[in-house]
Amino acid sequence: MKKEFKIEFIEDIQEFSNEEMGNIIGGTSMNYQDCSCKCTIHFGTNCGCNIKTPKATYDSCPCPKPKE
Amino acid sequence: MKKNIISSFLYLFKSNDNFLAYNGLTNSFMKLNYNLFELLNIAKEKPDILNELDSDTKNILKKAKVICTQKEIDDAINQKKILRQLDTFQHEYLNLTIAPTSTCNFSCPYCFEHGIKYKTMNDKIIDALIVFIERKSKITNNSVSITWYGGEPLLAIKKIDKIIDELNKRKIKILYNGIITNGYYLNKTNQEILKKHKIRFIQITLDGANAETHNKRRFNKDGSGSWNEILNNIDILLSDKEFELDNLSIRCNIDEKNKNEYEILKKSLLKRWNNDKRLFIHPAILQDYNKNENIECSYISDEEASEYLIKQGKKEKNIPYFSYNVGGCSATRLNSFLVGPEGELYKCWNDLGRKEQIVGDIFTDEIRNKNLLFNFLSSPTMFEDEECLKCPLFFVCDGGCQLNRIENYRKDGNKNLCHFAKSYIDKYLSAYYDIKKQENSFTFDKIKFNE
Repeated sequence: MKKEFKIEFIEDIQEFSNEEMGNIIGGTSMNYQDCSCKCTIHFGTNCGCNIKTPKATYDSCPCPKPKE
Repeated sequence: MKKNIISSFLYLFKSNDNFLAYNGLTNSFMKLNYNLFELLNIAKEKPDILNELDSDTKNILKKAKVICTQKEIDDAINQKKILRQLDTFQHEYLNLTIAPTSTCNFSCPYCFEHGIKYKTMNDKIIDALIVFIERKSKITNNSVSITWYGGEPLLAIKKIDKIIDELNKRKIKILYNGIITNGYYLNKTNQEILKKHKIRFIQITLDGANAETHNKRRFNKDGSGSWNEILNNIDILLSDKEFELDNLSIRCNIDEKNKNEYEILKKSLLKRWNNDKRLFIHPAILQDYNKNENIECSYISDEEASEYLIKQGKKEKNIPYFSYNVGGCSATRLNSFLVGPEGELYKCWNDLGRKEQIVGDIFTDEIRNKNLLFNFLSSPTMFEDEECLKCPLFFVCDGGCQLNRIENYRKDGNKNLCHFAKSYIDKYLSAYYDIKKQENSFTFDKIKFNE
């Protein structure tokens, strides 16, 4: 009997954002001023240095959100 | 045609009756049936078995890069590497952490600045700092981002006031203005100064659910506690509707003795401050910088820390999914510095007051410690680390603390650099799966895959 294979995605595949990749052409990078989830504050989230908390989501990230 | 292999970042594990797979290469997370789980396990060693797959399943696995080529893996690593290099060498932003004083009114037993000499910026240093920022910000569109730091920065509030006033006079824009303070002197008078200067981020530490625990760790030099003063100051701060604060971060340093108090602390603070949206209360695992000389702290191991954080996340039903992480901090960015009270420049915040860690100063553009600076900015990195290059979390990990990496490299050290979930990927993802399962009903009939 032929084996049956099943797969279900709990989290779909992810790619670096167009914003991040697009910046390569201009030779610039994302910074925490641009994206509040990329915390660079030493005591921030998941910096791997002095604190190891589960990574914050965009909404719970302690960084200030970009201002209009 | 390139040979198909199984992604070296694929992590297969069983959770209860579920067969789960995480592929770090695309940061995807899948539920499999037993047949596929077993086949992929075997295919790691014997990829020819993939021929048993039907074409639909094979295509889905190829798109998710569970089945991939070595070139696809190399390309993904190169992509992360170039993003990291851009982050390192960007010069659109000037990021400064400024310690106007290294003096502190507290004597916390675990302080990593233990033993450093107390200094405070004088007017000559402040003048030189303004010239330094003016010079450096010419290439950053006359802008700078500042985090005030110490010592206790509020002990030098007049210096902060003067520096910001001078920057304003010169029309240098402060993009980000935050402060790390112990909160003791965050009284109404000082709050008014911070408000005037549009401080957006404040971090304060509370180390227990009550005065008794907190005061044993965060006390004044004369031994008096700080709990009441800090809480009263925050009461005033949060009731000031004119203070344009984005974020009040409450850090709770965790060790064996107080780890059960964090949850109580969080609940009581949220209640006290009516779930104020500006609050971000979070645990932080204490690191033993003083080689356990004190008796007030009982440090927990990296593994215990991981378990604690996962357990806490489960309780709060807050297990965030992994996200791609390029990494980088002030230590690894060319255009970021910690400015000490004598105008000395460091890369890492932990280095304040340590002469051997000074890389330059604000008076000249000379590099004082070339090798140290180059180690911070370049090698050693996760891209040359064989352990990292085979870790399923490679693409979602920041590579760990660069200061620790350098110490491991230079001194044959063994400091942990890994993502907190590294030792417990299965537990972490199982917890995540359970939470998601409560939100969604997963069935094999409903394949969530975007063609």
